Amino acid sequence: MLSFLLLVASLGAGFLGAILGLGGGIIVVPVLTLGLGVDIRYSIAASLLSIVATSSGAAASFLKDNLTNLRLAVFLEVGTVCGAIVGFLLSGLANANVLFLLFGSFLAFSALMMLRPRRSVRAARNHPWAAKLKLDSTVALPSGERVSYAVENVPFGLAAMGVAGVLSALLGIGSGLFKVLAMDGAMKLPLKVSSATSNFMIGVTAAASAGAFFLRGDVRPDIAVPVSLGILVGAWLGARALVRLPETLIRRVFVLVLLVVSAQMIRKGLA
Amino acid sequence: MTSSLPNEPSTGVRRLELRIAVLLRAGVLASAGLMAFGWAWEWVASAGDGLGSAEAFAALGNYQSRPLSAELASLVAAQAWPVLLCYFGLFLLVLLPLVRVFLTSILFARQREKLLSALAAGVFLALIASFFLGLEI
Repeated sequence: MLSFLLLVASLGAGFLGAILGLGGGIIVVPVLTLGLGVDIRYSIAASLLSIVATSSGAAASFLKDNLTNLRLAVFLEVGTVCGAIVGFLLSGLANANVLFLLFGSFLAFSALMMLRPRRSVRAARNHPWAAKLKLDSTVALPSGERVSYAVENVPFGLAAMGVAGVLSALLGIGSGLFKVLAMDGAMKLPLKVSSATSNFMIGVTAAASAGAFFLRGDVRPDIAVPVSLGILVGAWLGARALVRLPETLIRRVFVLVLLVVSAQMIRKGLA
Repeated sequence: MTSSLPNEPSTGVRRLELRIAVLLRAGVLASAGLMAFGWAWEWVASAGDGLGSAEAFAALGNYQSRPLSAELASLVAAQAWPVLLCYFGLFLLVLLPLVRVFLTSILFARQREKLLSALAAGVFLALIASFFLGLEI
């Protein structure tokens, strides 16, 4: 019965994640650890598998909308994969308390980022690396007209992806919020391009450490199977319900929930 | 067919990218199907005492490092085929991003984008190498 409970909880996590533009990891890991008492290391491994599932399943949608910058995604994946490898190595050194503290802090950070006003800024000039790799592209305006955008601060963006990779492996999340922040804030990509490209990259980021966790024996089918299946179905349902639901209200409620859960995880880490 | 806008992928490239993504989706469905079947089979075969039982969850409250190889060996010895099917589905899932990156590297090579193809190939090799980090030597 606990597996069915986990399946339902994961379905909810996937549904909510799709509506709010978050991966399921931010919801699933607290549910597993605080709700079901599963060790955080098993929870992180299961969460990473579910992230791979949703990202791989939705890749076609990300590409169809012509927002994903594939060249940029491939380039930035160098950073996220290297970071994820470092994150996996660090996870072997960190004890459960440290992971709880980090996760709680990240939840608080995520809550604040969700309240941040969204504005789209386009870069005026390419960084030399962006010019060399032809990372600039075009994006469609609401009117249907396609305009070009440049890519700035490429080395900083790559380094930020490295940090995102470390967080992904340490905490079992996709680090989508962090990636969008780097692409939108530092590299000056249009917000929709940042979101789409980040979503496209998340699966590769998660896979970089998921494989290692898998061979280390941290992926337990008791939790990984219902979590992966639940999040997949929930995300699919959430994507379809998105247009009908009041996203702003849900977002505000979720921010409050995030802050409460953040406090609980930090408390558990300090215990 | 080439595009008139700067660095805009051609229609052909876009079509190939979509085919890769559709292949990924099929992979996810296959993996999910295997996991769901294995999970249901285990539940029926063990009458609820196998995966997801209260005892199994209680054991997950304490972290115990046990390599996958040892776990699989004991499952094979016990002929726990449903659980092994679940593991196979999970493994297939983990492989999908690697397949995507590998095919993307090929895609860029076909477009004569040597640098991007090399970057994608590097990411693919890093992903392969990351798997081995989980092995106890």
